[in-house]
Parts: sequence; structure tokens; C-alpha cells
Amino acid sequence: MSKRTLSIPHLGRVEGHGGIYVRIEDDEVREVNLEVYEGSRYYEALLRGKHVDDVQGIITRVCAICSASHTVAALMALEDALGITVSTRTHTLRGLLLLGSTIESHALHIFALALPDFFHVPSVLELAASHPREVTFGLKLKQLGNRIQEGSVDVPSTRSTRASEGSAASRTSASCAPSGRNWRRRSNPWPARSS
Amino acid sequence: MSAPKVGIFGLTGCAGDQLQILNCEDELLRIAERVEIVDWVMARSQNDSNTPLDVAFVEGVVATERDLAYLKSIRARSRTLVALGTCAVWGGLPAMRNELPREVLRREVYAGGAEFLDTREARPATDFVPFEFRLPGCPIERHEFLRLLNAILCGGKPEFLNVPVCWECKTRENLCRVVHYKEVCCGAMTRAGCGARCPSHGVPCAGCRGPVEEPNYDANITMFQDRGISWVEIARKMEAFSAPVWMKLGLEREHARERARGGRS
Amino acid sequence: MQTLRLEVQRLPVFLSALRDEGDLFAPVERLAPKDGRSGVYSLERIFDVAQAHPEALRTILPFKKLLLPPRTVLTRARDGAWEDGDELPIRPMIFYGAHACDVHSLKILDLLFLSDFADPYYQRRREQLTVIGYGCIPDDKCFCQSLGTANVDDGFDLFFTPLEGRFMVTVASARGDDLVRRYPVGFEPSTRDDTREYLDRLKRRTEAFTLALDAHDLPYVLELKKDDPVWEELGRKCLCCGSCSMVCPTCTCFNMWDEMPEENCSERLRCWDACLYRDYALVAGGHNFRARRADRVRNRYYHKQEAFVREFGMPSCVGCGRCIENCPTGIHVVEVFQHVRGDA
Repeated sequence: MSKRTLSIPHLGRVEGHGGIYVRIEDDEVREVNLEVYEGSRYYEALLRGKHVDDVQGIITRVCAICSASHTVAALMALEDALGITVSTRTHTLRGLLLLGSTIESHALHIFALALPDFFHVPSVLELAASHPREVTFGLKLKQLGNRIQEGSVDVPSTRSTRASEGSAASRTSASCAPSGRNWRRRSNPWPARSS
Repeated sequence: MSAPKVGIFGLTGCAGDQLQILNCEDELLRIAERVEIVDWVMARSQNDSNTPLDVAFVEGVVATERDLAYLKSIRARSRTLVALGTCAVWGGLPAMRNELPREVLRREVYAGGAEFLDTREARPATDFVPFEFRLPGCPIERHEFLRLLNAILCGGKPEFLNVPVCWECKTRENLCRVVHYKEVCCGAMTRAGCGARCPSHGVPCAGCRGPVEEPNYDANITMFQDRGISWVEIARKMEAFSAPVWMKLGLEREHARERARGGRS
Repeated sequence: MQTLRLEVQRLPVFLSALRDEGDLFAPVERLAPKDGRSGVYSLERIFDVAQAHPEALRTILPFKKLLLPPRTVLTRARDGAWEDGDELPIRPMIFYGAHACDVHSLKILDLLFLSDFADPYYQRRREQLTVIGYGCIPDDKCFCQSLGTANVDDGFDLFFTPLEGRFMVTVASARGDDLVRRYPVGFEPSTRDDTREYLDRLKRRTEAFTLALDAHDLPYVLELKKDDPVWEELGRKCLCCGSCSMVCPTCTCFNMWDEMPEENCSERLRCWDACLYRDYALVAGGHNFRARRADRVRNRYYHKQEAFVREFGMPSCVGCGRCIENCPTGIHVVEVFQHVRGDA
């Protein structure tokens, strides 16, 4: 009888914390223990007593990678409960936010979390040494997803000079905080297509 | 001279501060050339969890016994320890209602049968071990992280100003959320560095970066109350990112007064 | 000084023409979410002169933001070589909509940044600035009259005072004179009627002030009132948010520090600072000269009305009312001084 065990005490390159133990006997999996070490934050219960306005800001912090999905899900749930219908514009903007999130999290997953396995390296940083162009492209793709979510993609538009709320970036006043340092420098961030 | 050994760790949290490091897309590969990242569970496999570290970054709250043991082990092997993010520095959202017993929360969320959960009152990592640097933010600002890292690698000490969000908010010429909208805005108590992002988008500051040194807590509360905002509303806004600090400064006292009056909480 | 007249409808033609001279800045109304009107203005670069609200009494930030940006990179070292930090070319700037208090504050900034040791960063912007004034009627927060800054006859280039259907145009500099000659959109010599109406308007304006502060002996009173309980009271009320300093046209305190934004790159920064911030008077060794809020609040008031007067013979407050408008806890500078001297 052949016995094998697989034990990974702390799974790497996944978001969240967990370990796995697998016992195999005669090519048959006999036991699988998945342990999740992540502490409980009890957001569901902590939300009680909060005002509806504050829910989204809390729920978006459930998970950093899919913060946009949590945001939209929370808003939809509240709107459902309150019988609110949003405008087409709001709906479309949320769609854009989710697309940005999808681009970012898929690029992160593919290039930084999954691909190193296929190349037998510990992380994307080692992968960058052997495949610099591809990794750079992956990071730029991820950045595009982030920029869509941050609303910092340059969209051609008729720029109003009227000072409007929430358009700090287009105004003349320079803030104390460094803003958009990186954005300005990048004219064409896309590397040439790998052949 | 060999590259400094670096570890990046997450306790209980959303991994947002680690993600912000990965979000330094333009700088990440250069950072990796300057330091040797030997332990980063979120982005690496085959991690070395024993080597002494020159610099360690820790995000998240201590919400389990395992978190605490992990944090202590990280401290023991690190020369320079940096708290990343508001959870690690101040407690953040998981610590917003620490007066509620965890058993109650556990029953409410998981019903019965989850007694095996390793759980304890959520507290900031900085409550348990000494840290050389603290970088608040929910999540951290990329430019601040890069400034901090560059300074550490040069053996310097980065300057992060102890000034409130109003400093940046005024330079952006936003309509004041308190003066013009009569809202509970934590900007005057909260540390700047975010570029007043929320007020610049028409949302009052929720205090996600934690307090400035010596915030004038009482005057802020009076200011909100003078604008006709009820105590309940003030409390519900402030019971968020920096709740443990506000509780210490007076929120707890006001809660007790409200309870005595038969109100909420 | 020379006075001219200009028909009201000719002013936009003149201003539009001025855009060839440089970037035109004017008070613009900030949009509010619901009805769109906020009644709050900020100084912005404008492309359409119809957006300008020169009559707006105060913008959130005064025009010091054009001369002393909130954040300036003074110098930069990259890969071991020095670079000029403040590298953007400064285009000529025309500020349309300055009031008398603004012009007086400009004189104070010049005094601080151009006398003795000229600050090159300020100077290169200042040289590019053209100031076009606009006559105002005070509101309940204006108290320039009490500080002798309600009128001005120099320190600007042109000044437009609205009269019935026309403007009285005051030319106070060679640059102003050049502009009216270069763009002859209908400037004519002013008449006796214009002068009479102008003086009538000044009289009406003088009577329109509702806020007053007896400042003539304030430095002496303040000298005696250093331990007045009002400072402790203000220390409890003040958030030390620094809003009043940010919006003050003559608050110019700054902080300087070095930062490494990138590898092999170090920047020396100059950013606005405020004496109300806790670390402002913190020095090496950890001593803080004004560790208490009350000390910091008192310092701000004393600097405006006592120390500055002793040094330069005038207060550094021009009575614009911005700090009154922007203080979230409702601290009112005039009421504070009235209280200190026992008037209230």
C-alpha cells in the first residue's frame, strides 16, 4: 500500500490565508483538510445600526481585489430593499467600474498569482527576469484596470472650465499632495506586441 | 553588499495594502531588483519563513490568536518593522465595534456550530509589538509607500506630516462638508496624505487614515452638534476606521450618557 | 495715476483680447450638486470671459495660490546631478477681479518675498502677474475699512469700478497703460460725471460696511492681554485644522523637507504650512515652542495684529473675511479682538 501526503501549511499566491493537507493511499484521496486561518471580521453583524449611506464604504473593504464587486453588490442590495431604480448612466458607470475590476483582478491573477506555477518560479518577480516584456505587459494591463476603477483614464471630452465639484484633477490649483505624478509621464504605456 | 531581505505579511484584513504594493506597477520590478523579497505569501510560493529580515511590512488587525503569534514571530526576525494601513496602525473597520463581544457577533453571522473559530477582539498590530514606522491609510497611498521604502533603503527617515485632511482639502478648494453641507466630516481630525480624496468627490471624510496627533475631539463633536446633527448620527459616522481612538477620546463617555438617557447603544 | 471710462459692453471685448497676453484668471462659481449654485467661488483660469465673477467678494483661496503654489519642488537631485525643481515655464498671468484687500495683500507678499532677499520662485511668478482690480460692495464679513485696506491707488495695473452703464478705469502702472493702448476697445478719458458718480459710489460703499474693528491701538492692547482667558477658550474651540491659514491672503508660512519619490531621486519640497499645526514650532531635540493649542491660536492672532505691526508698521490682516467664512467652528476674528479689548 502506497501512502502519500501533501501538506502546504500556508498557501502562497492566493488572497486570503489558508493551508491544505491531503492524504493519498493507493492513488486514492482519503483525506483533505483545508484550513482557513483568516480571522473573522463579522462585517455582516457590524453593519447593524449603520446608515444606508455608510454601507458601501464599509463593504467595499471586504476584499481589496474585488472591492468594486462588493461595492456594486452592496448598492444593488440596498436599492432592492429600498425600491430604488438607478439611472442608465449610473448603471453604465457601474458596469465600467466592474469591467475595470475584472481587467485588474484577472491580470493580477494570471500574471502574478497563477502564471509563476506554469513556469516553475516562486513569483512574478522571477518571471520578470526571464520574460520581461510579457510581465511588463501584464502589469500595464493590470494598471489599466486600476486606472479605469480610479477614474484616472484620459477620456477625450470637452473640458469645461467651470470649476465643478469632483474634478479636482482638471483644475488649476495644485494640491499639497503629489497627484498624478505617474500619469503625466506616460504617453503610450503599451509595449510593442510580442511576436 | 547584498540586497536587503524583505518580508511582506498580512494579518486579518482585506489585503488591500499588499495589493497597493502590487499596484505600484511601474515601480514593482525595480523594487524587486533593489531588495530580496524572501517571504510574501500573497505573491510568492516557496517562502522562507525563518530568515532574519531587514525590513518587514505588516498589514491587518490581530483578530485571531494565530495572528498574534504570527505577528510576534515576524517582529522577532525583523530589524525594521513597518505597519501598513489603518488596520495595522489604528484598528480600522474590523475594530469599529469592539464593545460587542465576539461570541455575539459569531452567533449572528455563523449561527451555531462555528465555536471552533479562532477569534478575538480586533485590535491594531501596533498594540502588541513595537513598530519602527507606521503608514496609515485604507488602503495606503502608493506614493507614500514608495517614499517610505526609498527612505528606509537609504537609511533615512521619511517625513509624513502630522496635519489634518483640511490642509489638502482647502488647497483643492472643495466646498467644506461641514460648513456648506452640515455633515459629519472627520477631516479636521484625520491625518492628511490622501489628497482629500473623498471631499474632492463630494463625500465627507470618514477618517480612514486615522487621527492626527492630538485631535481636538471635543471641539469637533461640539461643531457637529451645533449644526443640528444628532448624537446618534455623529456616533454612527465616527464608529468606523478609527473607532478605538475616538472611544478613548470620548465616544465611549458619550455612549454611556446616551445609554443612560435610554437611547441607542 | 490716470482715469478712463469704458462702456460696460466693451469690457468683455477687452478681456477676451487679454487672453493673448497670457492666462486669464478670475473668480468662478463652484458648482454645487443640487441646484448648481453654491455662492462659493474659486480663482480659476478661464477661457470664456462670461464665466468670470469679478464681483465675487472672496474666492476660497486667495490669489497667493498663483504666486506661491501649495506645493513647489525647489530642487531635485537625480542620479547625482542637480536639476531645477520648479521647471514649468511660467506663462504671463492676468488676475481679473482683484479687490482692494487683494491688492493690499499683494503688497504684503511683495514685502515678504521681494525685499532684502528676493525669493526667486515667487519673483518669477510675480513678474508675470498682471493685476486687474474690480470695485466691490462689502458684505457682513468684510472689515477692510477698519484696517485701512478698503481703498487702493497703486499696486495694481488696472482697476475697473462699475458705474451706471460704464466703468471708471484706473490705470496705475506702465503695464496697465500699455494694455489700454494695445487694445483700444473704447477707452475714453473720464468725465466729471464719472468722477462724481465714482465718489458717490465710494461713499455708498463706505456706508455699506456692517462689520468694524477698532484696530488703532490693538498692538498695545494685545501686549497687555497675553494671559487673557479668551486664548484658552479659543484653544478649546479651535480644531487647528489650518483652514484659516490656507485661505488667508497673507499667511505664507511654509514647511520644507526632502522626499525620495523614486530611486536615485531626491526632491526638496516647499509646501504651505500653518502655525496652528502641532508640529509647526517643533524643533530638533523634540522641544515644541507652542505645544498647546491655545498657544498656537494666540500666536496666529498676535502675529497678524501685533508682531507684524511692530515689524512693518501695519497689520498683516487685510480684512477680507475669508477666515470668518471658512472657520468650521465659527471662530470670528473680529469678535475675538472685540472681546480681547473688552468691546463686546
